[in-house]
Amino acid sequence: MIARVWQLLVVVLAGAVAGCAEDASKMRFAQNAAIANPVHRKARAVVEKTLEEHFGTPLDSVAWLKLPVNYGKAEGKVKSVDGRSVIVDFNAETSDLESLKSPELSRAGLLFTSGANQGESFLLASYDPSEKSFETLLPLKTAPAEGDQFVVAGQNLRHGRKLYARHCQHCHGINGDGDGTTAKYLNPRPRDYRLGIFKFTSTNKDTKASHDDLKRILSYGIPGTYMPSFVPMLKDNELAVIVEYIRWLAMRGELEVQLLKDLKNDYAADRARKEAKESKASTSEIENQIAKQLEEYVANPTEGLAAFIETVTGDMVSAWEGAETADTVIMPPVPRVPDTVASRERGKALFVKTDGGKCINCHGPTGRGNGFQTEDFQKNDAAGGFYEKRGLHDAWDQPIKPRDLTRGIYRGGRRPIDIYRRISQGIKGTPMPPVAATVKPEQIWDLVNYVLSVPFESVPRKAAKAHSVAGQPSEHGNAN
Amino acid sequence: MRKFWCAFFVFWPIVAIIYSIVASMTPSLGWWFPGASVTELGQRIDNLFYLILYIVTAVFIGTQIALVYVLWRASHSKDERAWFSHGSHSLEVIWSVVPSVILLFLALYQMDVWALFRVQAYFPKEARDAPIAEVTARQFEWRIRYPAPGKKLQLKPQPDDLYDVNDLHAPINRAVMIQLRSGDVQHSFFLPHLRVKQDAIPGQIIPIWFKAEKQGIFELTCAELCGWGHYKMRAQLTSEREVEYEAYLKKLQADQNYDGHATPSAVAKKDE
Amino acid sequence: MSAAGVAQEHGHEQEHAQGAHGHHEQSFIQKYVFSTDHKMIGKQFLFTTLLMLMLGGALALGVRWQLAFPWTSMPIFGPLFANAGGQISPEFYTMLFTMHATVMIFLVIIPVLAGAFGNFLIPLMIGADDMAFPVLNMLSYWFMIPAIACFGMSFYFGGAASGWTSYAVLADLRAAAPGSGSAQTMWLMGVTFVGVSSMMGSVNYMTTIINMRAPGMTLFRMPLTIWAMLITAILQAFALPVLTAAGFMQLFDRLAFGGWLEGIHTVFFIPAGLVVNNTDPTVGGGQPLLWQHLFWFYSHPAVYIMLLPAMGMTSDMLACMCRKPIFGYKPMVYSMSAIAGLGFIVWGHHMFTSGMNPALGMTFMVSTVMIALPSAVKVFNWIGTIWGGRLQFNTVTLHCIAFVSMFIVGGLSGIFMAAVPVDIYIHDTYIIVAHFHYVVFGTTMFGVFGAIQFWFPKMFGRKMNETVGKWHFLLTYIGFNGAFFPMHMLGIAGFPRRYADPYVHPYLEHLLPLNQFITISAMIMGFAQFLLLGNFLISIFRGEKTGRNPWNSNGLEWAAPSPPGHGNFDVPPVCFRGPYEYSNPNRANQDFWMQTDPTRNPKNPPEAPAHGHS
Repeated sequence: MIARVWQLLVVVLAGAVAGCAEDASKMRFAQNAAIANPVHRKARAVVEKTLEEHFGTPLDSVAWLKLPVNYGKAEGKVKSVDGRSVIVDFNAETSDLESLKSPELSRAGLLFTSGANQGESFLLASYDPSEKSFETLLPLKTAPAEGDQFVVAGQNLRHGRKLYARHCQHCHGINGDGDGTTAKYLNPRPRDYRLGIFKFTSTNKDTKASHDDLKRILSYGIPGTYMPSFVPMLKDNELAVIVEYIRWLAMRGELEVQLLKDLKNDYAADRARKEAKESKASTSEIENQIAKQLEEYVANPTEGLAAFIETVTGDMVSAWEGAETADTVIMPPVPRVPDTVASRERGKALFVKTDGGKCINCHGPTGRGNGFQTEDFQKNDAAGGFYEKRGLHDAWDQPIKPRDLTRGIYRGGRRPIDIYRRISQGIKGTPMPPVAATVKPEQIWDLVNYVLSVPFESVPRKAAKAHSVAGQPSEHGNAN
Repeated sequence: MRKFWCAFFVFWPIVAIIYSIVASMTPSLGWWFPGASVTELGQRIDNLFYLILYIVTAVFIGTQIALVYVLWRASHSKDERAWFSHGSHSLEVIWSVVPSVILLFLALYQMDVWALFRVQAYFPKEARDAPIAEVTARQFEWRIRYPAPGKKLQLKPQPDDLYDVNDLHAPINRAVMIQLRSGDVQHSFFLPHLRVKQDAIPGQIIPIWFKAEKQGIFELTCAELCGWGHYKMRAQLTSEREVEYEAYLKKLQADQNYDGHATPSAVAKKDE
Repeated sequence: MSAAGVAQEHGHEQEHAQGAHGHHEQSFIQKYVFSTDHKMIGKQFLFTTLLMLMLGGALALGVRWQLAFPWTSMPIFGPLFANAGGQISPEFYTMLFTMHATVMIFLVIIPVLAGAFGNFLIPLMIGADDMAFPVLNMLSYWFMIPAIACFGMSFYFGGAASGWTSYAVLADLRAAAPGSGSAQTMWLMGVTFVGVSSMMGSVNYMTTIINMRAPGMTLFRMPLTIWAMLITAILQAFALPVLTAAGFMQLFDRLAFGGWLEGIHTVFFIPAGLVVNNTDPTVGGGQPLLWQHLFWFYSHPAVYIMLLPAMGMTSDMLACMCRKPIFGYKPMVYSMSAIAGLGFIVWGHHMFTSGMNPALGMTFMVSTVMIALPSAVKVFNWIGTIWGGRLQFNTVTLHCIAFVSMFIVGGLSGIFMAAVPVDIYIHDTYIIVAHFHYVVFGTTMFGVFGAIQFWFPKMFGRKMNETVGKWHFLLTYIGFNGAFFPMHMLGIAGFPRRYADPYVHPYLEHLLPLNQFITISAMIMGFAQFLLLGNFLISIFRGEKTGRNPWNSNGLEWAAPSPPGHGNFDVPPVCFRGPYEYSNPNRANQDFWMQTDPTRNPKNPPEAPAHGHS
């Protein structure tokens, strides 16, 4: 940093006012270092290349149609083929024609839905709105015939990326790692999307976050954190495309994690050194061997990389698609139990019971978030062993505190149904467990009623009523 | 070069004046107030602004003309020597007394608008008696707390209070008061279309009142540096008819009690 | 040490008279680095501040870039400091404007006026051989270095980012803002060092001016520059302790010392129950407004510290360039004193919307409006000075005229802010930015640019290039007005200050083109400063050589060799008259009458001015 300051001074002294143009080609999604470090660098390069092929770079993103992301869509038919360029006719009814005029369409994805190329997807290299012709990045294997139908997608991704860069990137990072330039000052840290986990959802414990869940977070913010509300700053359609971009980043991150974890088994960073010790071969020989194996792995169509990606994305796609279906959304089977003193007391009894919901273990006897677990050493399931620091940790290995319920701040929303969902299904990526299996819905409602009453318990009711704000001088007496 | 420099120094004030006239006369350019004030007090503030503007413009033109005139005379002087003068006592008296009278008048003339805006004793009684909401500024959003319909706003949060974020609703044609506070650092509650601005000071509750006379949605922004996300604190004031206002509170209440079994209309607007 | 070769006019005087000083050889370090000679210290200040001017300007252009081309790759700063792709982050933007103001105020304007010109001119203009306390003087420069180092360290920690006003609680709680960590601590240290430096200077200036004037230099024979410096020094002496104390209070609020010092963890400005960045709620009963009061109690007078010396210098330059006595010398002195006096009771106008007691708003409004009066009197007197003069348009004149013209704009726009109800709307909008740039840049910096060219011959024995100087003036003037006049309109449109991306607000979206125009103007202005810097540096070695009194001016400093040697004057000067006896009809042959000139009035006695002199 000192060097940077000097650099700055030197630049200022030298009087260099000329602008340094942004070099788009150099802007890349950084690799997930925590997971990539133990992997052999050649394998990491394979992962990087694979991801770039399917997702592109931040400024040149690729709409991978396999993923359940709403990239923005246009449908059309082939009219004729002139060399490499294909002259087409878009279907005005099913296409967003306005977005087709934008240069952002270039390098959008293209999928043939009929004809010789049916099921094949390509990347668009360019699109000329006046000629209504496009070229694909790689030559089409078989020339499309007149009347072949196709879908073009990806405009939303471009739009989303633009908005993401303006509003989100400085905290959540270019690749969604929650490590933008502002992130280091924030507590709690911004979400790292790359595990594909979002905390506050309406879906059940095994399902991803739905589009609407993410949109609700953008609309309302997360109280008690730096995640602000983006309404009215962003319009409805803007929120929607940002959500799509975030989901896309999350899927990209997930695939990256899966690939790296898989390759780590066979291509650990220290493999060459280890094997050189065991056998008599030199390190460079083993390095060559690794390169060869990798090449074979990438080339193998049935058991190699492609097949692995197929499996992983298949699971991923169904998990994300599942979140959009109604049956994964948690709806309480019974209406809220009336918020009576008796109900709260039942809730409190459950809250403090050590063999029931076990709330007390973390949230403490009075809900201050100071249960004994916060003072204990906790198991690290992912890495094995225990965390070095006392207290709870989340899936991102960050220390995490149980909510202090007396403050009346509910990050996932303060509606009864929000609290119900938190208790019933737990909070994803955190030690907050789902209790639906052991606690009945009515009892969950008792707990909800109790939790919502915690901030007011210490206020004697009569005294609070007497303290009307109206016409009173402020706390410090000089506001009149 | 003498002529050039005299013209140069006269050129710029002319450009400034023309630019100002164009800016104030052409609302479509957007270089002037963001529309007429939607409160009567705001209009009075605008009038005071224009009063000062007229006086200041006259002085500006007068002094710049005088400056360029003496410049022209001095640079084209054919005299062998400059006029040997150490000043004039009577002139000094004139140009001390006249401005001081104008300035003093300006200062005293502003007092009652300020009192109306800020001194609680001068607030309309209906506003003073029943503040409609508590607005808490925090990094980087506005959290708004309404009392439950039919109840009065209490100093401490109540279990049945209603909460919203970045959207303050107020009925039109009624003087309303809000309690402004800050949850973390200093902010400033700025309604440009209503000409209302008041800092939110940590540890204080500051009352603000206004009486919007126009229906619509008006920007609410932060005008005091509150950290890196200062610019992100965009919110809005929704000024609506009494019935709509009550409906809004009802809707808020229904949403806040939503348990998955209430009527679908209870789902908040932001939730689709 | 050498005054040789430049003292042609006064060839009969002894070349190497050293006054009371012994003639001894000094090492390079003694002469150029740890010098106790006020002229060398003044030059050191001048070089440092010019350097800092460029840095501050670069920071300003960073701010302007973001406002004109939001979130695009920022030249220089982007690739050096920001995210991949050169897009800056909002906290970087807040750092940019904070450090721009800090550098410009604490490292450019205040030191260039009091440090550079105060040091260089005071002993020369009052006929002293050096400052009263030369070592203290040297220390006042060398305390700037730790200040600069502290601000540098602040950059290292990410840069202070709570505005130059450093309002509590934002600056007070370490977790409140990215720059509120160690960067803010270093910033406070830097300001404290600047304060110590200024305080040393101010004690020295007061003592020197009061005690070391040449024989015959009565108070009302002092040039207005010296009056301005004296009043500024008094202002600093009374206002600075408050800022220093407030700075330490904030420092104590910020630092948790631990150990046996734990009890020092104060809460002067921290009220109870604040939750910032999810830390534990604060404990305390402090009052954030206290910081604003203390800060502005210094910083409002500081505005006059940033203005008065330039007013004084411009008065001297203008009189010389018009070959005419200053119009209303005593009213000028009285109005400067009035500005200084009133300057202490107007600080509350920065806080009209802050939530302080509304009754205070009224009193501060009256005092603020009334401070316009002495400023107006000064303007009228400057115009009166030009009236009937014989004017040459050289670079110095141009800067002086620009000074007056821009001060009219800056002064008049101040009246809007003084009026409390109007201030409700325009407070913290760009009209404020326009106003203080018209005063601090338009007025002070034009005065300083003029002063650099005017006293350059005295500093280095050479003249600066006129053509380059005029181009610099032209570009700066056009760029300046293009940049800052439209900001008034931004302010009226409700465009708030310190927004990294104002265009997320629909009512500001359409102002982007205007901001781009402003940015381009600012770039022109920034470019022009390279002309000044180049002209300055090259003229030191290549400029046209000059004699003792190239401007035919009256002041004592022009009786000394150019550049003056150790001990300044070869003959101890005696003052015979006031500094503005230009075009005196009783003086034959020449239209100036130096203060040191012992020639008696031929028509003996009366030395009566032609027109009534108060």
